[in-house]
Amino acid sequence: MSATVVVKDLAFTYPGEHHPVFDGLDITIEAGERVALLGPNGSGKTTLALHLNGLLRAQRGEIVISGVVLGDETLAEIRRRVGLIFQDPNDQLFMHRVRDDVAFGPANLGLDAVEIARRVEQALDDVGAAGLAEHAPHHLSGGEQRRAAVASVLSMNPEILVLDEPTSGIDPLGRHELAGLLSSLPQTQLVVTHDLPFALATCARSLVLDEGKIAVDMQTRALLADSDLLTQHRLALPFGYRF
Amino acid sequence: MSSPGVFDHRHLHVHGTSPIHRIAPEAKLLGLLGFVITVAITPRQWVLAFAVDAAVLLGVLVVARLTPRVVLGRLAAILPFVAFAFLFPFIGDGETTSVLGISLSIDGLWASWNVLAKATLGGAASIAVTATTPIPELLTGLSRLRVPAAVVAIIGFMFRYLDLMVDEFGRMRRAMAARAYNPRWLWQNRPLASSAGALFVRTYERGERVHDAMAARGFTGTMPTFSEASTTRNDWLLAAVPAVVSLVGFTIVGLT
Repeated sequence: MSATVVVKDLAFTYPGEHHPVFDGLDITIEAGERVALLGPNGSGKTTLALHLNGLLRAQRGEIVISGVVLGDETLAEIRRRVGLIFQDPNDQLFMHRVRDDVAFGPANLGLDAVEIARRVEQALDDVGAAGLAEHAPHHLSGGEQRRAAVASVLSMNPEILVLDEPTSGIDPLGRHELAGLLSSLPQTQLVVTHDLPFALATCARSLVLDEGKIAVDMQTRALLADSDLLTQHRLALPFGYRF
Repeated sequence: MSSPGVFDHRHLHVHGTSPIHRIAPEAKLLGLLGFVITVAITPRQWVLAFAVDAAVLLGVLVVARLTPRVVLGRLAAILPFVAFAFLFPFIGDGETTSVLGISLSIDGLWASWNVLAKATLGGAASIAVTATTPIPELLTGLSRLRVPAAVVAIIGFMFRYLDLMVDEFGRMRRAMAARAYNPRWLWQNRPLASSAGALFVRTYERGERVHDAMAARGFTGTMPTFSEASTTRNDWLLAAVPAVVSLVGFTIVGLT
């Protein structure tokens, strides 16, 4: 159910840009770990997320998911194993019914109707959204949309979840529910976020990406207690927090 | 969330359980096509045939429990076309007649009637179908009628993201209004036009993100279809009723 993620010597420059986003990035995440990926805007967090699922391809180095190297032949397999949850649920939920969105991934895997229906039920159940199956995505609240987006990926039975800014656009209670949901899922998780309290609630380990490198790799609690280190990487706890 | 508005497709479908609501979508679409074609080919002088069409359509609307408010409100969409057609009696030539001292072309009057009758019948028939069929079912119906998957997907995306686009445009306008932009005349419209450009760029970017999100879940170019209920012969028969009645009326009026 969970897998290891290894990023080896990754280099990537956007076409037409001179400055590379990554130039020799290395990351190792153990099976079942939940890791927060922190960093200032423009540090390459989303770019890394897109690499893990093969939407962007490494210009040098490689991505290895549980021993499988991402390449042309393994792309479909890697996309099944690595579930990517985008920042804006409206980009992810493009159908007219939540049920159809959750069924989209399994249908692309070529599963039969009975198995697809079973997966949809299971995924919606896992995220506590069984009642939303027939709803139109744009009628849902931010928190509901986020859960539906997670379900749309869970239905593919992924081993790794990569979530890009999962707390954007949801209210405080929705954040709590989402933290509970992520903690209850068995998959290896990489949570890209600016939300430090959320990182603490969900991930024991944190990585700080700055200038295309992993600048910090430590316990989330220890990182949040080190305000100098946070400031150095343009990170800050919300007002009123102190560890 | 978005506020309901004229462009808001979520109100296209009027919830209900009438026999019309329950007919399979592809049958309804084909029935609509048949009815509209018969109306379109009816010569404008065959007033009785139009009366038959109107009667059967009225029957459908009543069975579907669509209120006059809903139907007439939506029929407003045809007004621009009809308004244009009302120019015909004034600009047409040939024999004229005098109404309240104004000389009107008889040929022009018939032309106006032609547009008015056909637009109203066609419009109301479309309303009967769209109000009784949810968008996802309409899309299923289109794909069952072998409409190319890409076309069905484009129509689907249009409806899915229309609200978001309208919302986004609303926010842009509010942002302009907040800075004291209050256009009243056509020549003050330049900022509005450039915001339409910005909207296009944003929509294009969203398109890319949506495609990424689809590719991330293994999309390789073919949309999967999720059809559930099967279509019975009863569906086809029921859906064909308006078109058949219209055709019978057409034939009888044509023969007499």
